[in-house]
Amino acid sequence: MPEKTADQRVHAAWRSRACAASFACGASVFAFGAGIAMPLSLNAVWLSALPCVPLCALAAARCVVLSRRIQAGGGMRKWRAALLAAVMLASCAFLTASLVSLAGYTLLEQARAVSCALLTVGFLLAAAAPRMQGVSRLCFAVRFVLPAAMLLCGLAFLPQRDSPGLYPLLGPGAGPVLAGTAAMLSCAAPALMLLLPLTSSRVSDAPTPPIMLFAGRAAAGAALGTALLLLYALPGGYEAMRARSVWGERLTFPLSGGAQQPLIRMLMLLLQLFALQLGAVSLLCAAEDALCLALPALRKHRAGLLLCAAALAALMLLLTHAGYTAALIAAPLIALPAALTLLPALSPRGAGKEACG
Amino acid sequence: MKRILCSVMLLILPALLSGCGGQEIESSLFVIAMAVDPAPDGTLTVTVKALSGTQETGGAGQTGGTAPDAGAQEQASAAEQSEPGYIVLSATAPSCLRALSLLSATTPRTLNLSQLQEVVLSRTLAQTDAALPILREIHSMYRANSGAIVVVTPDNAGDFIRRQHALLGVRLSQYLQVLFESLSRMDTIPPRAQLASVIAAMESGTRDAAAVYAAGNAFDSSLVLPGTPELDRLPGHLPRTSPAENEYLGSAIFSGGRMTGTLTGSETALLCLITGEARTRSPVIGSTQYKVNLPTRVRRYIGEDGTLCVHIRMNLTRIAGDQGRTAQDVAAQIERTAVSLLQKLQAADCDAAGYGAQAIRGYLTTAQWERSEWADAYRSAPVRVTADVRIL
Amino acid sequence: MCDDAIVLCPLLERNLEVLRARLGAPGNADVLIRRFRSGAFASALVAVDGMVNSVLADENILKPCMDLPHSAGADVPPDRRVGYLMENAVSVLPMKMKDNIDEILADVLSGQSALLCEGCATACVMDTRGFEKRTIGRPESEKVVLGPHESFSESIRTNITLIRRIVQREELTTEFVTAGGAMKTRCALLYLRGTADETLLSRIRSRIEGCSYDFPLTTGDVERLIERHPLSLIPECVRTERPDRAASFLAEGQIVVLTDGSPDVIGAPATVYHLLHTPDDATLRWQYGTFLRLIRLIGVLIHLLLPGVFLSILRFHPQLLSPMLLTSVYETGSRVPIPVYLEALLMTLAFDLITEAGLRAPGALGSALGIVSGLILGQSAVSADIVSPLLLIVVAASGLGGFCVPNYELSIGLKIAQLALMTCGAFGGLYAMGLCAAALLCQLCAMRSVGSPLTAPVAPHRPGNRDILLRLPIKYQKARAFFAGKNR
Repeated sequence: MPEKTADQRVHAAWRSRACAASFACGASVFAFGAGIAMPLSLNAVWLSALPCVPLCALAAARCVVLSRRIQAGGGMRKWRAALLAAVMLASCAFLTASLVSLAGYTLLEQARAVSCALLTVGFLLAAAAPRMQGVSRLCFAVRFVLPAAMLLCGLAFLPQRDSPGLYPLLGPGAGPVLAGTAAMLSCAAPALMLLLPLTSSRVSDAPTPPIMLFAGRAAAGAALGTALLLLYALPGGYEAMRARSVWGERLTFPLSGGAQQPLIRMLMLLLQLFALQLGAVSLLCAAEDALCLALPALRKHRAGLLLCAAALAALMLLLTHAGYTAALIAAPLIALPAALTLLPALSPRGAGKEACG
Repeated sequence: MKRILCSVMLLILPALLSGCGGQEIESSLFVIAMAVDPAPDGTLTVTVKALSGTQETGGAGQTGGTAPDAGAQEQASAAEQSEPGYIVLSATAPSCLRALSLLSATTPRTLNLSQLQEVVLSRTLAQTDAALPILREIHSMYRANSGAIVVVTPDNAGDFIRRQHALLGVRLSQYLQVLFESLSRMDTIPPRAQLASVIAAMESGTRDAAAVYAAGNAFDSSLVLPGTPELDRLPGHLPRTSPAENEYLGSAIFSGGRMTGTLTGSETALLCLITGEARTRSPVIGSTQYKVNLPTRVRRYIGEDGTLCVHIRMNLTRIAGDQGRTAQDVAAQIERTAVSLLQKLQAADCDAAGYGAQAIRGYLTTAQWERSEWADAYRSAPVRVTADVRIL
Repeated sequence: MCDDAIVLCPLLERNLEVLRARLGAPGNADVLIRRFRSGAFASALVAVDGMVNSVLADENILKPCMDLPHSAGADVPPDRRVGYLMENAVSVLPMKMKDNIDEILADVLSGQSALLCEGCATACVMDTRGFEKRTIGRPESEKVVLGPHESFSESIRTNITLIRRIVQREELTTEFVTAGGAMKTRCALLYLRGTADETLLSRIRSRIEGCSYDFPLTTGDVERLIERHPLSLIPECVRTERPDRAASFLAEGQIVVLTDGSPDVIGAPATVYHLLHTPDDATLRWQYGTFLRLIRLIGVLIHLLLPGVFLSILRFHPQLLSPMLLTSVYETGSRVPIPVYLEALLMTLAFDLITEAGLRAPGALGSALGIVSGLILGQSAVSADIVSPLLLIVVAASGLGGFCVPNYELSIGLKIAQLALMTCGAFGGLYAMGLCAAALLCQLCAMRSVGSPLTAPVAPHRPGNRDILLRLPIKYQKARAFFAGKNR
């Protein structure tokens, strides 16, 4: 195979991976913002989400640098891979919970919660079966269309006059807004999927693209999530946001603004669900890859994927019984293991000691 | 491995899909119009007009039946066949929620409010604090169509929707949609009278709601005032007969969740102009009809001294009527009527023009805004309207 | 040496005994073994009756050899006698010298003739095929309004000739490979040297040659050998019965695989966009081509999604219907006794039955059958309140959209996907449909065609010809497809 072609393939694979990370970050920002930050910062939820944009970019950059060092050093340590798998799975569970909540509040009002949750996990498993390649290429294919469509639909929800939701600018105050930001730190966790190497053996020697590509994509995804939160906040006042107590309701775009037409509302809803699903599937695939790095025996018969899916199903069943509020309470804690995963390798310059998988 | 996975999924999938709760369309009862009236002992009477699923005509039904488990405060009527294709049901219960569930229980179908076109409240009910909780229940619990128009009537709301028939060969649901669209194009009904908008305005501290005001056509009413322009009236007092038994004209204005006044058709049109949501391109000012050449530019702001200001710039062409009126005359009339309207809104404690949304910009946090006592400031603020009219 | 039954030996009689034994002669009446005197030595011609062109064999082989003087070839070394006859008597152009008995038999069974001489352990195999074959006809499934109307036939040689008439380039290479175990099928790989990727070529070659099935292979079987996703609903290769389309595949850098006995060929690797392109797109102006592609894409989306969306709206999301439409659906639905999902399945099944019956019914009856069945069945079903008129329209529109799919295999795959989406829509609403569609898209994006991504160059991005959805003006189509080799 000509060298130029091999380089092109590697570059394309990394670009697709970056798009998947971008979608996952954007979906996380929106889900964290609407679920956790909104009760704290009300209409200033977009302000709480704004620091997540550089945070995601930094996380992506750090992941790429660390990934290069790890690959140069012979591979990822088992503890790091296991921790990464746990972080990916937890982030995936959060996005899946938001997906199920949103669907349960809007499209499947009469559905049993257990059915809805297991149905979602089942289809996520089906989508993750072709590995990261499938979902990352799909993310690459829709990288412009989906965000543009979401922004256009979001603009349709704006009121023709005034934007009452924008004011007061600080919402309940600087303190609650900062608390919202602190609660949203975990939304950068999906960027950690960039720590994982490409799995194809043919591409091991080809160079990775520049760091700015990954940082830029992660930032773009987070910016999209923040923009949607801003569009979300504009139509209604802070009182309307305060009144939204159900997570699914908080994820739905408010209706007091423009788009009363059911078709536009349905389109926006479907786009939101699609974006959340892409994020969840990317994270599930990343969890499988990380788990297989930690325990190579799980590569056989795709046992890694089945284990991750089973764990996800178990988590969803637990949340169904305990209530999705438990997910909202536990989700900010993902930031801790995520930060640990980004620790530098223990040996000097991180070389020669990371050998596993 | 893949084959086993696919087989397992194909086996489990039907079981999972069957728990998603879909139902055949004919097992739903689609409500087109809903009315809520106060009943004795603090209960509510909810009347709905729904699709019957048949095109056959039927005789008048009976009323006054009792639900099996109803106490003295709960009653559900048998279905009345009001016109081909529709039935009317009503129930009395302590709350709107309970009444709606009672209605569901009396029919073998599930109540579905996704095609609701109008929610009619009686004026007596709208003037209490019960209006907002009722609307909220309908919107959030039963997922009613957010675009349903909220209507307030001085008559019995149940009779109001019984009188509401389809005309001109179309179905009732389509007729109502077309009717409201036509009325809003003429600016004779308030612009944001949809259910979701009314609820949001009622909950908001920055503006107040305005619903549509409607009444039965009382051609012989003694309240028909000779000499008053037609639009400058309330519904039910128009000097005309019409094929429709109900008239929709003007606004019911709210302060918070309570109705505090009404606006005539002309006042509603002026309110649309002030809020920049006027859609008609042929306004009638005085006794002259004009055509709007360029989009009217309206700026609402609060002066440094707290004055509620409006600046209107209009470009008009005279179409019909008195040709002796100058642009200054027209501007002066607009200023007069606009000041009068704003003062009327202030007296009714209703910020339908949305000055609160302007005032809130001066505050950084919700606590500061809530401490500002905007409602008192609004009530006593002076009003200034300037109009710049050019007649081509 | 003569006991070695793998290769020929110098004894003519011994060779003929081995050949008789292998072919089952004289019991096998089709086998022709003609002994004759050619100059100073004995010779024999082996052929299969009906497969060989008798006139060619008589006039160009037997007669010239038998007309040689008795002393001709007396001083020729025995092991060169066959060569002597080829140089001095036989006037058949395509010929090969072989000594392997298996190869000689395979060639004889395919219609060639083998010339053996006394004292020579080599035979000459000559192409004397003269069996009956179908003439070049019109394409059955790839009709165009403007453009060539030739299609391939069952003869591999004719098909290669049809392609060579269009692609008159020295780089055009034909490689014959055999597939199968005891019953071999001859296949040909056509490619442009320097344009087709060598890695892809060797991959295809090895997959075909690795087949050991013992039945006659068709193009479809060869396609199964090449593909790597047997459970997928989307085919990995593109099949065509048009020589002009096959020529365009070669120009793109694809490898064209022909199978003896099948009137269509395979182009590999392929992308999902190849499955949606038609020759009309290329023969018409670029604006018309783009417009037709958009129409086709809309047809595909309608075919795939409309029934599922309709069922999901009726069962889960009636708020999306306009009031007038809802009233109409509500009133008609109240009269229909069966659930709407069953109704949709029955109508879809009826539509597919009518389509299949129309294909199988002979001649004029087939075209009338569709019209009559549709009219009578549909009208009667609506009058009897078994189905609602709106559902009938939905199923018919979906069926029409399916007919827009130019690739027959893809249309069947999409029909299956449509059923899956319909089931998801009926029981899970738009949510389940969205989940299912996303899962199918992920599967599609991960698929490869002979190692090349099926959804490239869109995802992943690959530089190459941008003729995907829009048909660009010809001056912008300078590059070959991304899977071409160095000469892109």
